[in-house]
Amino acid sequence: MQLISVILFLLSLVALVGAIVFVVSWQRNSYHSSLVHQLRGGIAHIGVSAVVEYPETTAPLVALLEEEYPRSEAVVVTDLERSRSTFGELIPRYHLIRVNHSHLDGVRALYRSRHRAYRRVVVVDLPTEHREQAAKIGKRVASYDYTLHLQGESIVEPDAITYCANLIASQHSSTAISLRSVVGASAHLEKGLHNPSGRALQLYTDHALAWQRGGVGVALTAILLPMAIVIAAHLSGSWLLFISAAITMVTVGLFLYVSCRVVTEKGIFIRLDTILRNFYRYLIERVKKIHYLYKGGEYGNNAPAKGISILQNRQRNHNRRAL
Amino acid sequence: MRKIVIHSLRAEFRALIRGLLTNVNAFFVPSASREELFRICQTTKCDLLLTDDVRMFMNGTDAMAQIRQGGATPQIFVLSHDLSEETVTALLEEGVNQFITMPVAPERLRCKVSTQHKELV
Amino acid sequence: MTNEAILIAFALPLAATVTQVAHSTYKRLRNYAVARCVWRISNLIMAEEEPSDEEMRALRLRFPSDIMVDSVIFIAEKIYGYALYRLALIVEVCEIEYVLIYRIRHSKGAAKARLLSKLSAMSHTLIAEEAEAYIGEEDRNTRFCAMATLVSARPDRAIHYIAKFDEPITLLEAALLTQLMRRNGAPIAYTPLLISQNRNLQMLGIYLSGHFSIADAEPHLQRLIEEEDKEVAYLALQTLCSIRGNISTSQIKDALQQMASHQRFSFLLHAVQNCYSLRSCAPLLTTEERTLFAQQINSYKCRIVCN
Repeated sequence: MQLISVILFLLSLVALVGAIVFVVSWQRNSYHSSLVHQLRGGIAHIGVSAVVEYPETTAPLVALLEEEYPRSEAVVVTDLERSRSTFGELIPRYHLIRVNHSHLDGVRALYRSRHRAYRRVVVVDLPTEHREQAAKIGKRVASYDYTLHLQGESIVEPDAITYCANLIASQHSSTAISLRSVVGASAHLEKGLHNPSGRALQLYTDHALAWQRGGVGVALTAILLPMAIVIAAHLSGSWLLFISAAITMVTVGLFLYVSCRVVTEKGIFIRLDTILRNFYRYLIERVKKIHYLYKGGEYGNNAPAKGISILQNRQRNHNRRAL
Repeated sequence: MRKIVIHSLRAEFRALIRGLLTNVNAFFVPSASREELFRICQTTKCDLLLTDDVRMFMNGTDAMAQIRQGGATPQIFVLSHDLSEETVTALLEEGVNQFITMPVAPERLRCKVSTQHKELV
Repeated sequence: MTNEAILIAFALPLAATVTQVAHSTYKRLRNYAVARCVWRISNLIMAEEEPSDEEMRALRLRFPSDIMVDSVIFIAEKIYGYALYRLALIVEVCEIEYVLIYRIRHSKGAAKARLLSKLSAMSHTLIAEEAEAYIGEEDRNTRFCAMATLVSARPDRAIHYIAKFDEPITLLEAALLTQLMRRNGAPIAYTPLLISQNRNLQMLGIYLSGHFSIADAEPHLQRLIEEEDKEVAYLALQTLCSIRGNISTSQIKDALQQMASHQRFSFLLHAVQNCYSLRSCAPLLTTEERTLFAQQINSYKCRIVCN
């Protein structure tokens, strides 16, 4: 029991430190430009294609079609053979027709709409065996050069694409940008296929971009965890467990604070759930980064390339902070 | 008296349009959600619909059929900041009668509303 | 001890639930208050007689300053013309600007920029001198928002302020300035902007040409593609594509060769979107790009097989 108490105590400390770092990172990215929210209507040639990979329902697509930004597109990559009951109705609903797709390896069919009102809907029938190609295929099919990748049942915020487009327009056009949300579901904006160096200015934002649909299991677990630890502490009489419970409450309290500060219509439990999942992904990323650094390698696309000047690095860091 | 439905998901927009058309002689019905709008169109015969909800006509829910059901043919005016040619053409193809770009001059809006329904002024 | 422990343990779920309920209630009440304020202000604007000072001050007593600021900004974004003059009168009598200015003076960094952008969104701001004080600020956003406030307050001198701004403006900033100038009814002639030597004015002219699809701007855009400033050249090219101008010239080919590959790809997709044929774009593209171009166009078509 003593061992369990010690382990729980150490885990809760690690979680608290991780949470503090996460909140500081979110706080730094909160000082975003007020200009990005001010513009109404589209910007010139800038467009964003949202690529949804293998959603379970049509909810992500419906949410994307609510987007006001005119130069946007919703590309749904799914296996129509296996999910005909869910996605089969898209074809008559949006007046989709099969179009040429011979240049797309592994794709069974490509659908676009013949109606102008539904011109933003694109459906890609990609067998599940080629699932790992989904992102690449989505980029090939996309009409615009920036793609916003959404995993599974991520529901975009109503103004997410407008925000992304305004953000792209706020940078100089020679800079390819890559954007992730600190608090939202797994949604990643990046430049399309022809960025062979893969180098992009990595930006983080406190805008949620998308929320995870589905249960709030993670949030409820996190909220009830301190209670469970307190009860265990009472039963065992271990002071260490009481302290662990207190630390866990503070940790969850920090995330609750961030959830309250995020501007959205979603309920607080959904926000907390998504933020906790994001935190978990953030921890994994950090661990991987430390692992690669330990091994002396370079991590990810945003590792500084050889020969890049100090000035560019400094500018990159400044932009990251300023956003 | 003629019925004008003002539909928007935003209460401020409904309030603004209602305020700008304050001297217009008509019965105004606010609608805060799409379900409410369809219900209003089903139960009462409205003559004019003013809305900023562009996506309602372009999301596959067949809103036009719901609004113009039972033989009713209310005029539909859409107000939006979106100037793109595709959006405007798509809306007109779907059956919207007028697309009014924002920002809008209040006098012009009143003129358009009253031109469609001369007995309103 | 047990009771205290369990009470403490219940604190978190209770806090979450209370926060949720309080937050949604607050939002609902605030939206309602803003809607009421918007309705009252729009009634005053549309009244046949000019509203009296007492009527306007009654508004100020009824609604808190936050609500009034948001309501005024909301209305200012949606209307133009004589109604804006009445709105400016209400803003002046209710001293809404002073509330914002007080807050601007006591804030710094991003908060200052945010408040200045609110001030600029309120048209015909009568206190432009306050914005002039922030033209020399260290933060770029604050400097831009101060300039935007001046553009909003003095539309007759808008071009002068934009030309004098010491940093190159981005596309978003050009779009925001256009939005402000359009709302104030300032006449914006695109030709003097496009032929100007000032980079910011060129950006504004390019944005205007694209935004309003001004086909007559084609010769000026063709000239701007040869500009030294790569940003201006690239945007001129994209805008030329948007207005479906002639892109099969040698100057455009040279300009494209100097661009980064992701910019070329972006241009390629934009040309497909604007219905350019492969034949018109083929001289500009490499073999690989031509293949991509053809594939992209074909993906919009369906093959009809006739036997």
